[in-house]
Amino acid sequence: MNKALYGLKQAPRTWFSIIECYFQKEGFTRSSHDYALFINKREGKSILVCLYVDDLIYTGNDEDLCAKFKKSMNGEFEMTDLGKMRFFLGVEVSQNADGIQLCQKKYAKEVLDRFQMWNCIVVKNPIVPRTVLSKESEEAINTTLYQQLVGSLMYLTVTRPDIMYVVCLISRYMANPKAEHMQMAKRVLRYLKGTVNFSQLYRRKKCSKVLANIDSDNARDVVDTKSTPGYVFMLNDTTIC
Amino acid sequence: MRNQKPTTCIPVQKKIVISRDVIFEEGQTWNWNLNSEETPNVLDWGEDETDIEESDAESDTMTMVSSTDNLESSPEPERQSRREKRTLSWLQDYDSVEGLSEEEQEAGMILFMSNVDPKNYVEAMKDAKWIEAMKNEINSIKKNKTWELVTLPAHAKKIGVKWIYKTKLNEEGKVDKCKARLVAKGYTQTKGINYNEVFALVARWDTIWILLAVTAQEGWIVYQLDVKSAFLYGELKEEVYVDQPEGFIKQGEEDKVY
Repeated sequence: MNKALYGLKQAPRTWFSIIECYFQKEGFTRSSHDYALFINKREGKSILVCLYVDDLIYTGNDEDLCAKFKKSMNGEFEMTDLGKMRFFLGVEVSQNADGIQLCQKKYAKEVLDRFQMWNCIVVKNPIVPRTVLSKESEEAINTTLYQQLVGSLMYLTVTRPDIMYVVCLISRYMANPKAEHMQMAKRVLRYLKGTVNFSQLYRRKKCSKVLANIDSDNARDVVDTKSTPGYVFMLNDTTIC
Repeated sequence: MRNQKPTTCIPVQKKIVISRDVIFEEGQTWNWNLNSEETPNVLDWGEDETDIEESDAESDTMTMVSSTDNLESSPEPERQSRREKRTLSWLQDYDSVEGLSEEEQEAGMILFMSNVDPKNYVEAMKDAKWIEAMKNEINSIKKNKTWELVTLPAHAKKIGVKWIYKTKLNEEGKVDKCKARLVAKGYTQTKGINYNEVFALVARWDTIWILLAVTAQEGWIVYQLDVKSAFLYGELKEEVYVDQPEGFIKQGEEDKVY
C-alpha cells in the first residue's frame, strides 16, 4: 500500500505530516507554543489555523485571505465547508455582536441521560466547601462506571471552569474509587442539572486585560500531605486557562 | 442505559413496552435470584423446543423476535402437562410479544430492524444502499491511488481489513446517509515491522480558548472546515500489505494482496 487506511496505527500521524507539509508550502509558520496552530502573517494581514485531526478552525483579520485559504484547501483536499464555526468537537459555538459564546448544553444533557440523573434533586454548588477526602474509606464501587463518569465530566470542563476544581479532585481517585468519591461525582451531576444552560462568553472589547490568579493550598491531602495549586488566567473577564 | 433512545424492557409484566418516557428506579435493584416457581407469570413456552433451538443460530435481535413468533403460531398444548413449567434459562431475560396487536408487533419489528447497522459484510450485502456505500468507499480509495495489487513477499505479513457500516443522522435525527468505511485491523500490526511512530498531535484546548478569546476581542469571524476521509491522504513510510476487501476481490487474483 502507498497510502494509509483507517484503522492503521500510523494513519493519524501520516495524515498530520501531509497537512503539515501543505501548511509549510503555503507559507504558514507553526506556532512554537502549540504545534497544531499555524499562522500566516503577511503585510499586516494574518490568518490563524487550528487543527484537530480532520477538523480545523481558522480566523483572521482579512476576509479575502480567509476565502483564499479555503479555496486553496479545497483544491488540495476534499473538504466540507461548514461555514461559520457553530459546532466544534461537541461544543456549541455562537458568534454574534457581543462576542463568541461557547456552550456544551447538548453534551451535558447526554451525560445526565447516560448516568440516569434526570430525576435528581438540584444542588447549588458542585462540591460542599471544605470537603476532606480520605483514601482509606470503606465500600468499593464499580470502577469502570466511575471512570466513565469522571471522563465525561472532564470533557465538560472545556466550557465549564466552575466544575474544574471538583473534577480534578475526583479524578485523582480514578484508580481505586470508593463510595464517597462516587457521591461527590454524583453531586457534580446534580449541580449540572440545575446549570445545563451555562455557557462561556468571550466578549468583544477593545481593551485587552489579562488577569492571573494563583493560589495554593499547602498539604491539602490528608493522606499524603500533597499540596493543591490552582490558577486562573482571564482575558477580558473570561477564563482562558 | 440512555433513555434518549426507545427503551425496551419490563420482563415481569409479560409484554414488551417500547417507550421514550422511562423512569429508572435507581434505588431498587433487580432480584436476579427470583426462582421461576415464584414468578407470578411464568411464560409457557410449551415443549416445542426444537423450534427455538433452530432460531438460536440467528443474530440476537432476530432470535428474540422469531422465537416468540414461532411460539405464537404453535398451538397451546391442550393436555395437562405434569411437568413443572419453567422458562428456558436463556430466555429468562426476554419477553414474548403475546398480547400485543399485530400493528404493535410490526412497529416493534421495525424498531428492532431499521435502526440497526449491519455488523458484517454478509448482512450488508442484502441491502442495495450498503452495496452502494461500499462502492463509494472503494472509489475514493482508488481515486487516492492508495494501493496496487501485488503478490505478498515471503518476508511480509498481511493485515486483515473489514467493513464498518454506520448510518449518519442529521440534526433532526433523520437518516442523512449510509457510510461504509473500510478499516484495517491495526491491532495485528507489529511495531518496527509495519509501523514505527504513531504519535499525532492535536490542538490543546488552551490554544482554542485563547484563539477564540482573541478573535472575539478583535471582532473577527471563525470559520470551520472538515476534511473528508482525511486519513486516506496519509502516505505510508513502512511497507504495509492488506487483504483484498470482502466483496471486491479480483477474480483470478484471489491470493494477491494490496
